[in-house]
Amino acid sequence: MEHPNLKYIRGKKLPHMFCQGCGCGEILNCLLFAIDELKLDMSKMVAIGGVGCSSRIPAYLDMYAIHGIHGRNLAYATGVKLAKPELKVVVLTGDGDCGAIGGNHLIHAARRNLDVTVIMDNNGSYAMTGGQLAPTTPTGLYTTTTPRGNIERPFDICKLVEAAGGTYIARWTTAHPAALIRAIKQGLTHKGFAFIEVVSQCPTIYGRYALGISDPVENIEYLRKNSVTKEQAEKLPSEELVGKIVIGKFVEKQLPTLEDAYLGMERQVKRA
Amino acid sequence: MLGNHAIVEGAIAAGCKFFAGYPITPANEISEGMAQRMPEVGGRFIQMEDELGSIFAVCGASLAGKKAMTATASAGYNYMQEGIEYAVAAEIPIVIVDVMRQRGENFPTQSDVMQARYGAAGDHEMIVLTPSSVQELFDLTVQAFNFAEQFRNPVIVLSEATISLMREGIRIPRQEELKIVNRKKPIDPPGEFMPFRGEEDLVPRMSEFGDEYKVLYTHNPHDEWGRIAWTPKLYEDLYNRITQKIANKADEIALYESLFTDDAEILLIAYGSEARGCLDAVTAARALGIKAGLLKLKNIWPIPAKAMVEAAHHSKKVLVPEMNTGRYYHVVKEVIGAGSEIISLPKNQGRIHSPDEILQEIKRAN
Amino acid sequence: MCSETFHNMISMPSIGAATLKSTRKQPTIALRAHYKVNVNEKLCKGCYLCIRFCPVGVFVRSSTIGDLGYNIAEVQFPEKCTGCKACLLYCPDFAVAVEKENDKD
Repeated sequence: MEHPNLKYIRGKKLPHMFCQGCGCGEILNCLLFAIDELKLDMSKMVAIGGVGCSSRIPAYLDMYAIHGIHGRNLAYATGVKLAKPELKVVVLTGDGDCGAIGGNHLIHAARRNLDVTVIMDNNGSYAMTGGQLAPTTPTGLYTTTTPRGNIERPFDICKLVEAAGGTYIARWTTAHPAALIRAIKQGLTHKGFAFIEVVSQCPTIYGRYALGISDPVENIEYLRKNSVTKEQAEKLPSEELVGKIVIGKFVEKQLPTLEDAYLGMERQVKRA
Repeated sequence: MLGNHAIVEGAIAAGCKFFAGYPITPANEISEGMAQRMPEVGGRFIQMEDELGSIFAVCGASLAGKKAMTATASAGYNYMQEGIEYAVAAEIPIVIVDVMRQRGENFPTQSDVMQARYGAAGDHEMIVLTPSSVQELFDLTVQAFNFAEQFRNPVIVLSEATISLMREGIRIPRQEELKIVNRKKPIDPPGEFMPFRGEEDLVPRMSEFGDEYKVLYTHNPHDEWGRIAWTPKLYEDLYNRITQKIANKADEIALYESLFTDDAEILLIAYGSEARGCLDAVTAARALGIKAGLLKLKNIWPIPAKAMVEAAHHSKKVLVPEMNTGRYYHVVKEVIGAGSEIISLPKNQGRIHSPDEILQEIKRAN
Repeated sequence: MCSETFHNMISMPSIGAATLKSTRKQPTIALRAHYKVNVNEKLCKGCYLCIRFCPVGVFVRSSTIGDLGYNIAEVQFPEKCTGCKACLLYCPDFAVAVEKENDKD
């Protein structure tokens, strides 16, 4: 008797390296449920991760995987999709990997409407290296590089991707795995740049140091209590939204992808 | 044909089907040429948002099975080191054209001879080719792809602003005349195929995205199955194999031309555009009765030691003219050793040594 | 299952009890499915998300120390399991397994 997703783990190599109660484990699990429910052929998929805890997820998937350089996931993905457009590419990344060092590639991949699915694990800090400031760390919180509290404003990466041109954008948390699985399924089947932000618990680093909660269950409760849906958020005054996580599907539209543009251009070249 | 366009045609002749680049003078014509030509030959071109995007897109495309190339200049090449290091560690065949030029300006230079080899981590081998004419830009680009596929390593074509932007007549061989090397495909079935097990030539067979092998590519230390592993001995073995696969074949890789080296008492060792002036100078010196010779290097890394030692066999003095502060001179000195006196001729003024200048130096050394 | 048959009985045109009996399946009372639940002590890291999110309290904290050195979660009341699979959704370590025991319908 085993967990139904065990068969999708590369070499069944478990236990994985994620900490007790880590959101990355949940994201891996939800991704596998989504792949299973969609009955996708994993041999026609490529998982790309950069550097960081969530970027280690591709190493556990039983498919072609690139464990690449910090922040360059979407650059790899651009090369892979242009070389072999029939492959389904899923990018596993983190808030620092995607929003800081990889920020440039993020906005350009969104602008190009590259047909990939990006699952960004937002755990509030650079956990793998010990808990440094990340672009999504809320103001005022402790990180190892902001020992007196963060003085910067954080990003809303979903809004950034929307402005850059992403065509499927959603935010969920690891306290809502059923909704997350639905969103990942929608992202994987969406034709175009799908971006799913997953606000995820990190009991070992962010929870312990920034929030002062080290228990995994309390961390996930924190996420649950502080989540408001998009519809609820619209009715609340802005003061009440401070510190809240707005979840839901923000954007879903169909626009020509980069591949469509290439095919259009190549048809013209053939005719000439 | 323009030098940069010869690079484009060389890449296409070798089977390049993907190019990613970022604008930088003097490599723009390569990007522009590729933008024009790639759709015509069933390939894909993309202008990425920066050089880092370019080098990693090229890595991704190569892993997906296509021969891939990028082109940049010295400053952009600085950026790409991460990607080159990744390609060395994960053994991805790619070609990078570095059109050397001065910092900030478009002056000719040969500044990158060390960066080309040591710019990435440096703790490995690199194959760096140094063309000196437009014809060689074509030929050596084809050769670069062949080396990349043969050794599963990045290969650098070290062009220069001078050569890339000059026009010369070239002969493009018919496709049947060209020797094209492709990466070795796996023969074992999935479950038995070890993606990082070196064969006799220490180079593993390579699968591509979309087939049934499901390999994990990483630059972390990994075992022969591709699994990330932390045992110390494993790391050392892996890197020894990655280094030796090229180091062992340094003499096979060596590409050079020698002129009058059999009995040369004064030998010139030059590469790239410098070799052009040396050719005239040596011919003129011989006419004056001076026993001068030229070893024109078409690849500077891995060091063509055997060729250098043989050429310097009779030489009392070895002159190394370069358009930098005298970098390859140190390599020559180390290789040839105490047998001859090695003299560095650096010139960092954005111009190559003229044949007269070199002739003066030859006379002085005589 | 009961209610479905009842609904069909109502929507069928009344032909007569004899016809009804011959054309419809005999209504059966479905047995509630039972589930086998298991926590793999080689994988469990004792995060207890399963305990928190199981709606009926199948799992408890245990004093058993698993292979990874944590006090793992344990299955104490498998008979309460409704097969909702919340534990499978939340477990980050693939340590939980749920299987239907009998399939009578």
